[in-house]
Amino acid sequence: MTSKTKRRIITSVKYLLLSVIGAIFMLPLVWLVSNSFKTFDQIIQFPPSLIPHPFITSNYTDLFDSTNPNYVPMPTFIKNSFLVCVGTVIGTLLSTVVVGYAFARLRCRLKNILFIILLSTLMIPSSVLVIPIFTIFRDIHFLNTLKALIVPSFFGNAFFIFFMRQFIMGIPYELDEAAYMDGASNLRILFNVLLPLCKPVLMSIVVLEFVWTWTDFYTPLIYLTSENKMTLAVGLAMFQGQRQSLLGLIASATVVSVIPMIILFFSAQKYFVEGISFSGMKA
Amino acid sequence: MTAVLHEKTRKTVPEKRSPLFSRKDLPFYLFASPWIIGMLVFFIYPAIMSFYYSLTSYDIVSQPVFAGLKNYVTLFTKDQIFMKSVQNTLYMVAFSLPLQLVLQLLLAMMLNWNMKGIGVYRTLFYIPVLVPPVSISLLFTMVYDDNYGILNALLKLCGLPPQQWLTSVQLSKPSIIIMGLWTAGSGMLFYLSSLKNVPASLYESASIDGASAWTKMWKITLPIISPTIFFQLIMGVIGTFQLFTESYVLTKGGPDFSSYFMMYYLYRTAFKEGKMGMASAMAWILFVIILLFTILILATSKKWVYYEEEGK
Repeated sequence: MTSKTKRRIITSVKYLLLSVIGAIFMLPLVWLVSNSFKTFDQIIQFPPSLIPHPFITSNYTDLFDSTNPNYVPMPTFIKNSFLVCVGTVIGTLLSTVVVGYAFARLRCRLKNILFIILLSTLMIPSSVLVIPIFTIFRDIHFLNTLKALIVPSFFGNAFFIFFMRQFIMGIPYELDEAAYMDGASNLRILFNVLLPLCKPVLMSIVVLEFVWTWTDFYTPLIYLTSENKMTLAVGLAMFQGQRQSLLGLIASATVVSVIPMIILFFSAQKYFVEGISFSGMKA
Repeated sequence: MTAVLHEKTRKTVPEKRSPLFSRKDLPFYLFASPWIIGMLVFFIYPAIMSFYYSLTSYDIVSQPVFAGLKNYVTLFTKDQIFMKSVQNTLYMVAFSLPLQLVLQLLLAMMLNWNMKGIGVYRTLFYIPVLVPPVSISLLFTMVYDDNYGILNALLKLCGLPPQQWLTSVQLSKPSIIIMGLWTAGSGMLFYLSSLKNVPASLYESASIDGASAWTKMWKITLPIISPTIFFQLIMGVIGTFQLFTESYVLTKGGPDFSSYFMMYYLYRTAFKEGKMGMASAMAWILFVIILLFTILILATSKKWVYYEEEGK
């Protein structure tokens, strides 16, 4: 066997291996999508099939049909999820930008101590803090409102503040100085000089915060109790354990919950990967 | 030159010893105020109160009543479900986490092959990560179903007997582990980016010295990416100790408490049974366990984590 044919065989084996693994990863999702177009009778058939026959779309239309006896208010869940995502993205952006700037550029004697506290807030599991926060929210009547999910983001997210700080520290200090000589205030330096250069990091924050909020389950589960306030993740979990005849609806609702993530991933892949590789760097 | 200028301007600020607070620090406090307030309200205060609650009997409706270490004593001596949940959680740390780390690394090594169209495979391996955790659990409820699930269908295709994935005490935790492996793509990306940073020259000189692929992996690849392994291990420990969605959606902790994890029991104790004092004690126990594991990993890290020297 020549080394050329040997190499060719190795390459084919590699492709085969990658394809088999890829297929294993994709199979559950493909099956899910196919189930969402199947009738109930076909879903519970054994052995299961990958081709819907007959092909129906009523699992999707029923999700949004309030006259359906199995109706679960999906449009409300989706609307709530979007509201919370947009709110937390705005809150996170505003707070992260100013606080990140403070940590990167402004002087303070206690900065090192505060920075250590900032990092240590990342280490404490949320379960330690959740009960007192729950009582605070109860006292200020935030329970069962979307405010409970949105308002905390306006007080900054430690991880993103750190992210922002690192990025601003990488921008040459001379730019600030030049603007400072021209009499610009801190606010002006931040918004007119630094932020235009921070676009990639801001995009990563938007994407990651959106994804984290969209997929978060624990927080909304604790703070939201009534059906018309629930986000999609909590609303979906409500499906669980209900009648088996809902299977088609569960499949279609699950597909609906994934679609925004897929769209975001393929339209902002660069920022996705940048954010992820940064969170790997922080060790 | 620019660096020198930079240094000079920094130094023009007088470095005199002064009280903790001075007017010059005001802009910092102004800009950092959202976080400082948030840290006090959502971190310092809750941390203190949670510790206090853990020493009380507190049902959230009436005032907390001081009870000393009673909650902790009850958890460690009388509460069998708590012990069960600790065991289950440790089981996941012992089995799920290593499998995760190995699979993530293997996938990353494959994606590091220099082949046409490798990006397509990277996307395929990564897509499951985009599925929200609740949706993953709902999806796997179907995958694992005894009657119509696709996993049992695949087993049958291979001539194996069907299994009760979610309804048997033996398989509930392994089922959750397998489901976790499906999203190995997240860690895989970290490994991939650090594998890309391994200098090709090292492999070349090793090849000249006649090193085998196996030796190269153990002597070059693994040491160089060890900081990433270390990071993934720490994050993995923190994450695995806090497994929640899986037991909430997929198994409801069952059957027979076989998938009750600490976070799930904590959630039920606090928000279903309203025992906030007891739940706070659990939260602190969980925190201390995570902390001990983290310290242990940190302490051993000097032996196996390789840091490149300054100025590479």
